[in-house]
Amino acid sequence: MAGRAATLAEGRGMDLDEEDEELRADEEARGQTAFEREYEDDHSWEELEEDEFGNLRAPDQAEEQRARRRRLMSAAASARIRRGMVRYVEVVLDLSRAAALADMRPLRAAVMSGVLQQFVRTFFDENPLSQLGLVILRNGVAERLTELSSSPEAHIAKLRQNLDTGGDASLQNALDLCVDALKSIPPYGHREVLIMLAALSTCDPGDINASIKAAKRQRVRVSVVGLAAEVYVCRRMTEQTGGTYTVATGEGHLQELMLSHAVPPPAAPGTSSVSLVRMGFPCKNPEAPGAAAFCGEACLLRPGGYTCPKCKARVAELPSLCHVCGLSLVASPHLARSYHHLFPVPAFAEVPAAELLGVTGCGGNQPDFAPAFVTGRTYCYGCYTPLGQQAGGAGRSRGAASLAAAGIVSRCPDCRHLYCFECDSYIHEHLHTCPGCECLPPHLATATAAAAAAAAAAAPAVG
Amino acid sequence: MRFQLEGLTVYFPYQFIYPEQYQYMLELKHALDAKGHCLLEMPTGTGKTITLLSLITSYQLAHPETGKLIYCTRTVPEMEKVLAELKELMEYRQRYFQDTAGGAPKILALGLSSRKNLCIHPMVSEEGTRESVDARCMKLTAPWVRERAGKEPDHDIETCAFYEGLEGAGPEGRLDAGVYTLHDLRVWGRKHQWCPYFLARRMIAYANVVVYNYQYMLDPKVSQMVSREFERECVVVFDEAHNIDNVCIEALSVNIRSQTLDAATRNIGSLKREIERVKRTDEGRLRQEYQRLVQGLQAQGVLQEDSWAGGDGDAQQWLANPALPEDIVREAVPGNIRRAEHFVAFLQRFVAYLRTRLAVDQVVSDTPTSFLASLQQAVAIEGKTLRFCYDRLASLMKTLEITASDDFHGVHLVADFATLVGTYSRGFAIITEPYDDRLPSVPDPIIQLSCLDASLAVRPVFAKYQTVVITSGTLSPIDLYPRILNFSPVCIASLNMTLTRDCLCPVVLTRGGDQLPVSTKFDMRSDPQVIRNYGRMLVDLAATVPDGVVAFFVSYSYMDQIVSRWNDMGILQELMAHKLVFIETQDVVETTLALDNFRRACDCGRGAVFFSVARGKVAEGIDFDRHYGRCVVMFGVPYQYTLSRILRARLEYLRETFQIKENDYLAFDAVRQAAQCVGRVIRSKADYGLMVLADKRYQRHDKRDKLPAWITQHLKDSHLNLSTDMLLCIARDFMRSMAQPYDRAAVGRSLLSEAAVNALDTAAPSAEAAALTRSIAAVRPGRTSRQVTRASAEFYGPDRVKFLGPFSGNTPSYLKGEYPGDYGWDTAGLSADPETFSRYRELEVIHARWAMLGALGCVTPELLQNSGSASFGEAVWFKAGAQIFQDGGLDYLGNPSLVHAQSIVAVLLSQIVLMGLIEGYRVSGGPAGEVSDPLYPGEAFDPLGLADDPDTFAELKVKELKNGRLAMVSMLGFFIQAIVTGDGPIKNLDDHLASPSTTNFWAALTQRLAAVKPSGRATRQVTRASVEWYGPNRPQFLGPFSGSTPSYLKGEYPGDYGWDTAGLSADPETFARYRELEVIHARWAMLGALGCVTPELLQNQGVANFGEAVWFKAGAQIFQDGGLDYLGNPSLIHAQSIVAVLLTQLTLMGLIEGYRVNGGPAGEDLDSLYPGEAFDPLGLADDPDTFSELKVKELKNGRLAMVSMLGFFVQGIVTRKGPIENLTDHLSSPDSTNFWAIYAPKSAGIGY
Repeated sequence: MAGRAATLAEGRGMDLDEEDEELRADEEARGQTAFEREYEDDHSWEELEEDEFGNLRAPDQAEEQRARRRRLMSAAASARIRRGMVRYVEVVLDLSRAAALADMRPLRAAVMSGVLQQFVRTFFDENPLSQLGLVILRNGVAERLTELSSSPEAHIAKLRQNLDTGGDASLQNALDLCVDALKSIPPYGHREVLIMLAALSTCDPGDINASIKAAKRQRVRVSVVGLAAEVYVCRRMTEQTGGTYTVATGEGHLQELMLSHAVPPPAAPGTSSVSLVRMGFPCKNPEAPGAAAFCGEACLLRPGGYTCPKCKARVAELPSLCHVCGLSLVASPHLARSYHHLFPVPAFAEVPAAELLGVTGCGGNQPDFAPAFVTGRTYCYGCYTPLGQQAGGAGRSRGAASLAAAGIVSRCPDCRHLYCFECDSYIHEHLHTCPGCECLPPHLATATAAAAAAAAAAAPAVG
Repeated sequence: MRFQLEGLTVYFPYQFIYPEQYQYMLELKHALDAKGHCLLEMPTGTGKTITLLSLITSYQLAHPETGKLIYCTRTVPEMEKVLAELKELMEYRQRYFQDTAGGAPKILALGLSSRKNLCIHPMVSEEGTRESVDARCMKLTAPWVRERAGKEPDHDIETCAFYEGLEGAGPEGRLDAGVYTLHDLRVWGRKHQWCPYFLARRMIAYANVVVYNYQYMLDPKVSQMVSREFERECVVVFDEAHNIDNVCIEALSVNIRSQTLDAATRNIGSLKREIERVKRTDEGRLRQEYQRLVQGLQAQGVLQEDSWAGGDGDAQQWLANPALPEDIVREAVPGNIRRAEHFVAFLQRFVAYLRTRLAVDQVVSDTPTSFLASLQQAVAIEGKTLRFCYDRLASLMKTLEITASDDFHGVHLVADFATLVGTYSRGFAIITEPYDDRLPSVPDPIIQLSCLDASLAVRPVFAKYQTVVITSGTLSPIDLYPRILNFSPVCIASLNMTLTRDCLCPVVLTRGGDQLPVSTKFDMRSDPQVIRNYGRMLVDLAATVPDGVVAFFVSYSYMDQIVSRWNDMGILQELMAHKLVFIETQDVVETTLALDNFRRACDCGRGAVFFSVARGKVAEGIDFDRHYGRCVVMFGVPYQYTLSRILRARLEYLRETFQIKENDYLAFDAVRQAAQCVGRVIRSKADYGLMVLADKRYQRHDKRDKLPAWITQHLKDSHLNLSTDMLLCIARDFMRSMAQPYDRAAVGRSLLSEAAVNALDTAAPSAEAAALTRSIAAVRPGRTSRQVTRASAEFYGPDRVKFLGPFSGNTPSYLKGEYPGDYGWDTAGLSADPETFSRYRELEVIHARWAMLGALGCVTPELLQNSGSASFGEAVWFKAGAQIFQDGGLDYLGNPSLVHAQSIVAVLLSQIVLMGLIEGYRVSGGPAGEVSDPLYPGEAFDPLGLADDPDTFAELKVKELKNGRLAMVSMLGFFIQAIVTGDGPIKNLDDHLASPSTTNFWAALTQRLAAVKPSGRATRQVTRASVEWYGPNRPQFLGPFSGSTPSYLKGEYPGDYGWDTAGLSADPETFARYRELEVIHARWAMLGALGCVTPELLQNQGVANFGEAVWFKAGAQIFQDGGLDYLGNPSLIHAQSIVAVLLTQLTLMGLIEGYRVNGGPAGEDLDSLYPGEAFDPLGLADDPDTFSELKVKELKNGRLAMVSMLGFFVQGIVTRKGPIENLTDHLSSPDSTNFWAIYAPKSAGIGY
């Protein structure tokens, strides 16, 4: 470090590459030295399990991965289910007294807001056509923090400024407020309320059952993520409105539960008639870039912006509603990003270890172009990580390595390529397309595409 | 499902059955088969009711001779629930009979309740209370009213149309077969215009199942009317019977206040007027009554004429009126109360006397006898006259045609009182208190005639009916019930709940947040710190637990006190911020309202706390299931109000009559109430709840052990002795984990399907069935406690324990279970010939006994050597014999003053004396009388009194043989080990324990053992052992001539006879060490010596053929061609592989000693030498007295064994023959082959 300080002192003549290298070395060192790891967050000692002989052992990773796969599978299996693509979600954040407890570090409120920010980002990632609004429960009342809108940054910025806690929580007030806001959205929109509840009781001005009935009447789906324990009224509310009720056991679990709400839920039967949704695809500002214009509702002076095709108003970003004519303004990538929910990647089948023994390569039926260091082995088509026995044999002496390699291996049913667990989940969670299928030679690809088309034709209700 | 249960076809209306339900049915069936009573505990939420109904109705179907099922419940809703379940069962059963010719067998089942619940008369049913409905009904239906209405139709005398309708229908007026709830009865009644109440009364005689209230069975007054005609073969079930003793007592107790006496006086006045009136109008009636009375009670209408057939007439009469012992039933009413005027005057005098008794200014406690004496003295009323009061009054009321029975409550009470006092001289107390203890300033005199003996009311039930089933969710400690109720059940069982997740979380809180203990003990309960700690805990819990929380306090007064203090401290306000607070009061209406609002608060998510009182109505009857009770807190131990005079009297009575210690009873009663309270929150397997026992006294074993097994099973060690903050952590984790979605299909793991159940029964030893038995075994142990009487059923007879449990298949026909230790296993067919069989049996028993006298000698010297407490040349057991011939000889235990074995003569002498004496005595038929089995101690020779109680004796026999069998195997191992390793067993063990790499496997095994430990606990009656063998008055080594014992021997340890001439135990530390060594040595010794004598004996009898049968040559045979066959039979133990033999040996010794030394079996606070709570498969430690007696016996046997084994070796060296050969030689020619004859030439040869 001293050397580096010296170079800095010398002036700007320093080579950028050198600095990069230094950083990379730093990072490598961080990866290698275990004691430098951040332990605060992952509580790895809590994951140790005690078997019936009192021996400690690391949790079975394969088991954990299987559980995660099961979740993915169930998402894939429900591919034929109609999903609400255009969602209007009111997120209620409970900042009552109970959110000030410190059983999650540093405070429940801090953890909740962190998770919520992540959720907001993921939500718009997954549902670019949808809108979201924030409501805060505090001192017995429900405050509207942000109106329904499509801008993650606006929500997050507002949320960061409002994290004081105190008073009671009132589910009824929150429900009334949200239902009121969701009442007016167009019928194709999917109405949802998602409540992050820290409190164990609700202090209501009236009968919450009436509000639940109203929500049900308005076809609002209410889901609750609890932080401490199962509260009967939440259970009933979610059951009646068709939502889900889950309770987090810790920070990690809370995040997982919240993010599971980012995927569009199955549409309740008979909620919306299939109708044409009017949307505008605005073009980028035709004027020369750099020409400033007043954009959007706030009339901010900005360079560029988009012009609504209907009323020629300027909006700052996409997707959004036109603040003048109310048209939904989207870009075509947004539609594409929503598309994968309708046509998910098929679930990969797990390959038993015994079956792997005789296989070399990545399992696909076309010549592969693997780098030299994996030829002659079984490897993952996605990342070239050696799979199965060979890897285990090589790393048997290193306990950690063999543990990591013991993960499960799966195979795409269409292109027959093998994937490691990490790639599998990456493909299903983020990529939404199988690279193996994409790279199939034309004659195979058409066959697969025809099969897919047949499948799609068999399920006309999609959409 | 339909399945076979030991040959009985059982119809069960669900697709699956819980393992505990199956077990429950099994126990119930055994009781029904044995025609005896039974006591069964199974937690609520496991479907007890349907199990009972399903089995008993199936049993009725298979055995038509079985009588009615009489199902007694406590409340009307429960009754309706039972009938609804029965209805479902019957509908389900139909499907199995669809293709049979006659269709499903029809049954009639109905509920019976009071007129209040059944009346459909538009006016009468509007009446408010039960009494007024009864009275209104009687006004309309009394025979004389109807008679008069019939005679004078124009007078417009009101009668009940429904009753008349029923009467008019005559024999047609009946119910079709089916199941009728109270509602169904009313519907049926409306449809046919019949009175449902009288219809039900009429039909119960024909019903197969009758469901009604406890009172109808237990209260003599009611049962006389209702339950009189039931036949002996009936099955009576008392459900939720944990408080049955209190119900019994209440049925026979009467309280009289001054208001009662005022009412009685008024009643007497109106009786008088009525008599005057009748005299004027219709004197004949009175005269008629008088005539009847002259002829005796039997002839009059009050008591039924004795029309019972058969010999059980008395028992039936007993049930009819248990208040009247049979001798007076046949007596006539005494002359002085036969006339109505005289009787009324008599009552008047009696009431006046009671009034004088009430005028006291201090508490007076009386027995019925002394009460009668003073009554006689004061107003010259005899006890005998009093007895007839109740019947005389009933007769008079009838004669006077008085229908307004509710107005005459006062005089009825007085008559009840008189009858009870006159009838019972024992089991009652009369206590007069001038004021309530808690409100001494308010004069409120009361005479309490209190029944002290719960068995009085229930005795006629037990006597009359063939099978009485007492069952509840909380009957622990289950062995106390037979004593309190004074009956002997054939089957007692406590079953656990199989759960798929840990949805019960009992915790014991002993300290507050500031680590100070919390308790409701009298000296601590007003301590502000305790109150604050309790309050803080409740506030914190309210913030952690969602929805409903229930808090139980020990009494109303304590609740009032603590709540007002909490209010002062501001704790209540804090609590209200989290949850609303509701309180149970003594007012029923208020409480109902509070409960209602509590439920609403839980429903709407506000959350609420309910403050309630143990023993209150809420604690007894209201369920806080699901979200209504996520947590229950029991503040303190709900002891009864111990200063109550009635309780004192009852305790004294229990102590004197049933030998139940006061504290035992009080703790039992308190913990029973606490369990009842905390059990409120779990009502099904899908439910979950936290149970907080907040008192430091729950930490103690005497409290904790009395909790039902299904609670203690979940009481982890980490949930004991908590402080508030630890409790909150546990609560938080518990609530989170319970909120996780759980796989409801996983419930299937604790369910048995039809196929699985049938597989269980047909005993197909498939892997699946084996897994099922494991799950059943997990249910069963808990505390399947048995009475001693159960032993005979358990180890003998066709239902005895078999060697493979339910999979034993067919046992050989010649093994009938009449001898001890018969597990139905004889694959080799050794016992097929009856003569050989008895011979073998004898041999086995004798061998087992000698084996238990042996092996200690093997390990003693080596152990002592190792621990450095004594020094011998070579301490290994097989070299000890040689030492005798060395210089200086052999000092036993290295201490010359103990047994100095320099003289081989003395050694041999002791040996011969010991073996010769005992065996000779036995073989010649000396000890036992001619009648009894010569193998066992009988009337003539039984110094330990083993044969006194036949049942205990039978159980002891089995145990003896079991131990002996173990010993035979173990001793064999010793020899082989010695041959292979050349080391003594202890050395081997030490090596083995010292090297952890080899101990791992065993450690694992032992832990596994601990995990599956069957904590079956047999219960035993109290013996006086603790007095006999311990303490300063124990028997001493020279009897009364022992002189002064050393001061350090205080008799606190077993086997201390006050003898320590050598001063070995003067140092307390050494003493403890020696004590431990001695006990362990004694134990090993008892596992040994049989191997020495077995082969030789068998050889001699020509049963088997070994090369050389002498014990000290057996080891060598293993290395011969063909190996060593145990008992010469290769199918038993074929010891060709020395590896296998060593393995057995290592397993046995390593397992047991390793386990013990590690402190495994016993709890920390127990003596590590003896079985304790954690590991006690034989249930030895359950009863402390028996246990301490057993300790003494063990040590005695062990001491004998040490001496005996030594003798074996010496004998072997001198004669080169085995002990048996020596013995037979000796016995065949006592003159030539005795010690002296053998010894003389040999000793010369040795050159001694």
